[in-house]
Amino acid sequence: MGSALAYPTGDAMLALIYNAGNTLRTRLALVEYVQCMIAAQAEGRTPTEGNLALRARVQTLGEDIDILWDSYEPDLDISNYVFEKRQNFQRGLHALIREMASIIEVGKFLDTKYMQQAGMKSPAQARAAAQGAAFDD
Amino acid sequence: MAASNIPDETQKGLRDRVSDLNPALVLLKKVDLLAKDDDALTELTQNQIVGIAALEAADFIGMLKLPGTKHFIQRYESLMQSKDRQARFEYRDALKGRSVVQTSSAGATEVTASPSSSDAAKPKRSWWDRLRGR
Repeated sequence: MGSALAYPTGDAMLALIYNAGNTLRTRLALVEYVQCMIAAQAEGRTPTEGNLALRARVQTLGEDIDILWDSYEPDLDISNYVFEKRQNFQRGLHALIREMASIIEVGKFLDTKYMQQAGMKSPAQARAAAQGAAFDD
Repeated sequence: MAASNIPDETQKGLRDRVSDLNPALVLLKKVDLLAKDDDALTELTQNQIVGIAALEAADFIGMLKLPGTKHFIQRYESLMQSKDRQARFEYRDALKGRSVVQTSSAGATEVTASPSSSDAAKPKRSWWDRLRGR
C-alpha cells in the first residue's frame, strides 16, 4: 500500500507543471515542498541499502535547495538587470527538478494512479460542473 | 555524502549579489553624489575656487599653516548657497524621477508624468534680486 503522502506529492508535482512559467521563488518553494514529502516517505521505508542510498540523495537535494534559497534575491524575479544570475538560478533549479524527478522515478514514490487522483476535479468542482450541465439542459 | 547536483560553475555564479544593480538604487547613489554638501550645493566664483585651491595647496605642502583660514573656508562653503538654490532643485527633480509610460494588457496606455524641472515651482525673485540681475 502506498504512503498517504503520495497524493499531496502528486498534487505538488502537477502544481509544478502548471507553474512552469511562474516566479523562481514559487517554483523553488514547490520543489522544496516535494522534497519534504519524498524525504518523509523515504524515512518511513525499511532501511535497506537501496533505501539508505535513496535517503542520501533526498538529503543532498535538500542541501541544494538551501544553496538556492541562500542565493535568492527578490530582484531575480522582478528586475531586468540581473539576467546572468537569473540564468544561473534557472540552471540550478533545472538540476534540482531533474534530480527530484529521478528520485521519484527510482524510488517509486508515485505511480499513475496517484497522478490521476491528484489530477481529478475536487468534489466541489465536480458538483459545480454537474449543475452547469443541468442548467444547460 | 553525495556531491551537489548544482554544477560548480553555476554555484559560483550564484554567489554574486545583484540587488546593488537595481536601477532605482543606482539612481539614488548618483543623486547622493550630486548632492554632496561640499560640491553641488555650493556656488563659488572662479576667483574663489582658485584662491581656495591655492590656500589649501599651500597648507598641504607646509608652506603656510592656515588652520583658521581652512576652517573659515569650510564654513564658508557650507554656508554658501548656489544661485537661487538651483542645486537643491536639481537634487529634488532627480529624486522625483522621470515620466513612466505603462501599457496595460488591454492596449490602453497610461502616462504617469512627474513634473519636470520646467514645471516645478521656481523660487520667487524679489524686485531687489531682479534689479541686481540674479
